[in-house]
Amino acid sequence: MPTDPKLERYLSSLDRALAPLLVSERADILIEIKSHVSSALERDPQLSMDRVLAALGEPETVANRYLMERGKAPVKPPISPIVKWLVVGFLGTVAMVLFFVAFLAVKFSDKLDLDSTMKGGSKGRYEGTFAWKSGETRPLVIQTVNSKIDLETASGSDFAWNCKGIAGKEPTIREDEKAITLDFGGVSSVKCELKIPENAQLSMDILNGKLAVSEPRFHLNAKLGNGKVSIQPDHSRSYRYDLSVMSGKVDDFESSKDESAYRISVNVSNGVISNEE
Amino acid sequence: MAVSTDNWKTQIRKGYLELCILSLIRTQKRVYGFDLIEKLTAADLPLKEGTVYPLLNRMTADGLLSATWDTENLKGHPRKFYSLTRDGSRVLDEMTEEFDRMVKILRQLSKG
Repeated sequence: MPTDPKLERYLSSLDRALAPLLVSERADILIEIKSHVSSALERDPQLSMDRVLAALGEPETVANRYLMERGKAPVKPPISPIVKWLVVGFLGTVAMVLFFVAFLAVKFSDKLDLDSTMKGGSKGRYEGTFAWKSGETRPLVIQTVNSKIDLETASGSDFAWNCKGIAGKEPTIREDEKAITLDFGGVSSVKCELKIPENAQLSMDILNGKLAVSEPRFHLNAKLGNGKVSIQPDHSRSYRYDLSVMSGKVDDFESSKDESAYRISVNVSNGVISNEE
Repeated sequence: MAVSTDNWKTQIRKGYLELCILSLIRTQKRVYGFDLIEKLTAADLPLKEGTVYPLLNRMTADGLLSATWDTENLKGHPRKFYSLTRDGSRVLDEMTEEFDRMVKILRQLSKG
């Protein structure tokens, strides 16, 4: 029996928006939603597919509810597809221009006489720590635009960052009952070494850049628009991987079904997930 | 400008909806998503369909419900049936008790 194309599109959007979940969980959800639609149409054959899907709500909204119930960071709210692609195209171009300018600035920063009234010491280097409670369940969210980030497990109990940024803007750390967030305030081009506390749940969404994960003993949920993610597992630990690249390649990783495995979930739009440094 | 109660209603309905869902599943012993939604709507409980499934999903993940797929039905689309676990039953009792207590307190306060 052929499926309605509108339903397929809906399920496809729902699938994409549920990316942080495991593939088997996504499959379960999709079958249940499809079954709901079939039941609704059976109950009232007069109903149009549009009405049934509208009653469910936008796929991104439904997906966000699934994610929020499970304590995961929600995905951005839905916008009309055409507007969405225009905005993405525009932002992508702006991002590339900014990234290029930032790259030049970093390259020539020794030759530039940078503003001495900048806070935090020489030429935009920022360090900080945040006391991490043992058994902390709130996710650690890193908000950045274009960046090169090196992730390591903290040897102590604090979350620590050591960053180089452009402009005189210092990253701020804030917390509420939902999450602990390190916010770079939209500063483009950031280079950081982050020390992540053991067993923390780390969440990042980078537009362009590079992410290097070294022997993690924490859970990671990362999204990268364009760039490279390299993951070096700690061979004394087990990991449950959920890795996807829309356009590019993913290396092989050994995933474990162990309940206590660290969950590493990475989604890259264009680029590579590599198991080399 | 009159203050709307919409925000308050949304907040209070969320906890109430979970209680109603658990209660209905206990009464029905075994129910699938669409059927559950129909019965809740018939009881005049305001809800969005896209809210119920994520709640069922979380309650199952938390061990309050057990879910089984049933492929035996006609028309060839599988249905996911939910029933209360022992933990779910205990939680339902606790929630009902708390809810009754809150109603009693309000009544007391209203007496002045």
